[in-house]
Amino acid sequence: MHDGPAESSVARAGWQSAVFAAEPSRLAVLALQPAWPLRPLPISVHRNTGVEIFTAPLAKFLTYAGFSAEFDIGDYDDSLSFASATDPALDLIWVDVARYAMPTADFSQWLTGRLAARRQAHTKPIVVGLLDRDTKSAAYLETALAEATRTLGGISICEVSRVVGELGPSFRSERTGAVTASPMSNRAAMEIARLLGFEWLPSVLLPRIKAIAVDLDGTLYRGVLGEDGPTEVAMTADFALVQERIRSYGAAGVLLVLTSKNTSADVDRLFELRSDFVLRLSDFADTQIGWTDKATSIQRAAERLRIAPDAFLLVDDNIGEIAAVAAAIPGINVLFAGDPVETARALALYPGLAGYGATQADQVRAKDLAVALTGVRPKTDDSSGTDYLRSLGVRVSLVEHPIDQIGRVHELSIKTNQFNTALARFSEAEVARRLSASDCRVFAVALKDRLSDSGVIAAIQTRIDGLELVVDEIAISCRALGRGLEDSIISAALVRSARDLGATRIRLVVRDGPRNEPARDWAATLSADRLADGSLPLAVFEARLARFRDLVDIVWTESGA
Amino acid sequence: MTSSEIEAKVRAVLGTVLDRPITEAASSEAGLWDSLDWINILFGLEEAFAIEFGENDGLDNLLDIDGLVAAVERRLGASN
Repeated sequence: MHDGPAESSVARAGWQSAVFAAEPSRLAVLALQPAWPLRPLPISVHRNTGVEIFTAPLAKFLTYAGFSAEFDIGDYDDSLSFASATDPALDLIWVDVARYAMPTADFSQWLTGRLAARRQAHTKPIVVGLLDRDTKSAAYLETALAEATRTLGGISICEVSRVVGELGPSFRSERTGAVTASPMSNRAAMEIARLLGFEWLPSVLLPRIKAIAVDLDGTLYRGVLGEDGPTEVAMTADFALVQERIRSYGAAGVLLVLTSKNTSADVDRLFELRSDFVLRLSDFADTQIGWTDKATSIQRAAERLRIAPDAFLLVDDNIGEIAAVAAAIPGINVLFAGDPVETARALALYPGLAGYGATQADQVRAKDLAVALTGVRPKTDDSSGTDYLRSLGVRVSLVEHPIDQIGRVHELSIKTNQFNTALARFSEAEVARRLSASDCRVFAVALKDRLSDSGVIAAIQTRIDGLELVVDEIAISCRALGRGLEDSIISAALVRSARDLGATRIRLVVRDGPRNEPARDWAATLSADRLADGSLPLAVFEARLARFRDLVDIVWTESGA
Repeated sequence: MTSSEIEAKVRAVLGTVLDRPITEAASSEAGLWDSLDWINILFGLEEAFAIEFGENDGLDNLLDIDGLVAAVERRLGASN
C-alpha cells in the first residue's frame, strides 16, 4: 500500500537519519519500511566472493532511490562464465582479485575479455566491483578497466579502492570471513552497500538531476533573514559545508536555483554583506524570490531553464514545503534539510546527484544557458531570419563515428523529450554496437556561435536497409532549438549517411510521445515530399542542406579530434 | 542486563532481520533463518549489544534463539 506523493516525501525524510548516517547501522537500515511506489530492478550478480554481506542493506538503499531490487546471485565462479540465463535490468560483477594468481596487467586483460563476452549477451548496464588487498594496484585496475571497456559501452567500474583507502585497516575483517565468505568488515559492507545503492547503480540507471532548488532560511544558514537581518543569521562550519557541496555541484554543471519566501531587496543585501557565505548570488542560474508557493517557483524556474520540473532536487528545511512540492510536481526529488551535518552528507550521496562527475556536457549546458537567459541570443521563429543566422556566425560540427562520445549520444537519446523523433532510448551498449556495425552510421553534432559553445547538442542514428536509409532516431537538445538550425543539422547528417551507405531514399522512424511535438512538427514539414511508400527522396534533404550553405558553417570532424 | 532482557533484544534483532515479529514461543525453534539472514543476524546482534563474536563462539552451531541468547550472554560476560 503506498501513500500519496506528499506522504511519501515525508516518509522518505524519515529514512534520512538512517541512510545518511555517518556510519550507517545495519539494523537501522534493515528496519526501514518503504511507503512509496517502487520500480522492479532485477539484478544478476556474478561473483567469486561473498556478496550476501551487503545485498540486504543494498536493497534498502536502492529502495530510497526508488527501486525494488531482486537479486539473482550466481554460484561462486572464478572463471566468470556467466552461465546464468536471466534477463536482468543490470549485471553486478563482484570480484576478489586476490583469488587470481596472475599479474595485474594480465588480470586486467583477462577481465576485459570476460566483460566483452558478457556485453555480447545483452545491452544492459554492467557494474563491476573489484576487491584488492593492494590499494594502489586496485586503483590502477579500476582506471585500466574503465579505459579498456570504454568502447564496449555501458560498463561502469566502481571505485572500491576509494572506500578501501578511506576505511584503511577497518575495511577488512578476517574475524567474520568464515561466515560471510567475504574479506569485508560490517562497516565496509555498509559503506559499499550505500555507495552501490546511492551512487554506482543509480548513476547507470537514473538520469542525472539537472537542477538543485535551494531554500535560504534554515537551509543555507541558521536563522530567518526577515527576522534576524542579514548580519545576524549564523553561518556555521556545518552550513558552510552545505553551501560548499551545493556550489561544487554548480561548478560541475548542475543548475542552481535559489527559491525563498523573502523580499528580493533583503536577499540582495544578504549576499552583498555576507562575504563569509560560500555561495554567491552569481552562482545561481535563476532566483525565485517572493511569496509564491515553492511549487510554482520551481515550475517557473524550470520553464526559464528549459528543463522539466521533475529534473529538480528541492533542498528545504520545511517539511511542509517539501510535501506540498512533492504533491504538486510528480517525480521531483526532495531532501529535507533539517540538520546541516546530515544535509551536507546527503548532498554528497544523493542518488541522481552523486557519482556522475563533472561532465563537460553539463558544464557547457550551464554556460550556454547563461547566455540564453541574458537574452543576448534571441530566439527566432522568423523563417526569413537569414541575416540573424549569418550574424550569429553559427558553426555546426558533425562527428561521424563518435567513439569518444558514446556516453553523450546515449544521454541525448534517453534525456531529450521534445525534439526526439523516435524516443528509442538507446542504451550505451546499443550505441556502442551501432558504432561498430558496418550498416549503421552514428553522428554527434556540436554547435557553436559567436556567443557561446553549446557542445554536443544532437545525436542522429541511421542504418541502411536495401536502398533506404532508415533514420532510427534524431535527438536534439532543446538548448539548440529556437535558432532554426534543425534542418541544417539533420540534412547534413542524412545526406552524408545516405551517400556513404548508397541509399537513394530516406525513411524516418517517428513515434508519438507526450512531449515530442517539436520533432513531429518538423517531420510534418516533409509530408508533401513523401513518396507513395512513405519514404523521402534523398534530394529533399540535399535541397534543404543547400539552403544553409552560406548561412551556417558545417564542418566534419573525426572522432577524438 | 538480565537474561530476559537479552532475549527480548535478541528477538527484536531477529524481528528486524526477518521482517516479522518473533514470539517467545519460537525460542527453541530451529530453521527460523537461512544463511543469508544469518549474516545480518550476526552483525545485527554485534551492533545491538556492542560486542564482537569470535571464532570460539561456535557460530556455526547456533541454530535457534536460545543458542543466540547463550552466545550473547557469553560474549557480554567475556566483555565485562
